[in-house]
Amino acid sequence: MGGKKTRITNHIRRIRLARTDLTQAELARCVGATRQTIISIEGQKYAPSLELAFRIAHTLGEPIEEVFTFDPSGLEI
Amino acid sequence: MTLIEDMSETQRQAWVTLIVDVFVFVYFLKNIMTAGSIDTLSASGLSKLMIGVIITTIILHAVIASVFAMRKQGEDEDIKDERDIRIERKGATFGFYFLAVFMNIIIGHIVIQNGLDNLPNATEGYAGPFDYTNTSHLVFALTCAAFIGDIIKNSVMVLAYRGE
Repeated sequence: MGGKKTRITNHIRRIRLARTDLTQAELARCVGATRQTIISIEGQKYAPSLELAFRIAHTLGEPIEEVFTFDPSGLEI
Repeated sequence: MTLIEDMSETQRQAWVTLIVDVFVFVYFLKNIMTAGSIDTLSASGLSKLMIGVIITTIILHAVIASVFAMRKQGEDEDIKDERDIRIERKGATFGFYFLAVFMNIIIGHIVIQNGLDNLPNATEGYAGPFDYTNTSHLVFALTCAAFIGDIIKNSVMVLAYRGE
């Protein structure tokens, strides 16, 4: 029941641990989400909305392209 | 499976509501089966059972909603975020789809039961699983539809939280 597999992967956990002192709960509070959502996003189980993605990137102090990666393989142009 | 302390409030509420609905529905079915069938239950017996089940369901749902509302008041931040809303919406969609299909099946049966008997060469009527001209059968079918729809909604939510 998880829905379609997303092509978007993220590096939130790596950046959060390497470049900030934020816990998952603190990051969740900063971006207006629940800790469970942050856990799910970091676990690559949930793709956040565009706004939430920008909030996370802004809170981590990184450009959004550094935090989130799109896998275009298999995409027909 | 997610630990209870790691669950969001919406996820916990879905679990509690699901468990309560299953218990009440099983109690309802058990009372019907104890009597034998829906036909052997007297009109007053069925009325008492229906009123009891409905009141129990309303009270339990109200208590669950109140408890979770009181818990939210103690929190500083908004507990429901976009993921909770998305999963709630998915559960509501599946619950609605089930109810829509079930209602159409009931309507189809009523039309067939009434329509076939009126055909010029009809020798015998359509005998489905329920006789919807019988109020007891209709009430039983609609009650089952309501309970199963709610169980499906909360089940979908619980499964969606596991997958997302």
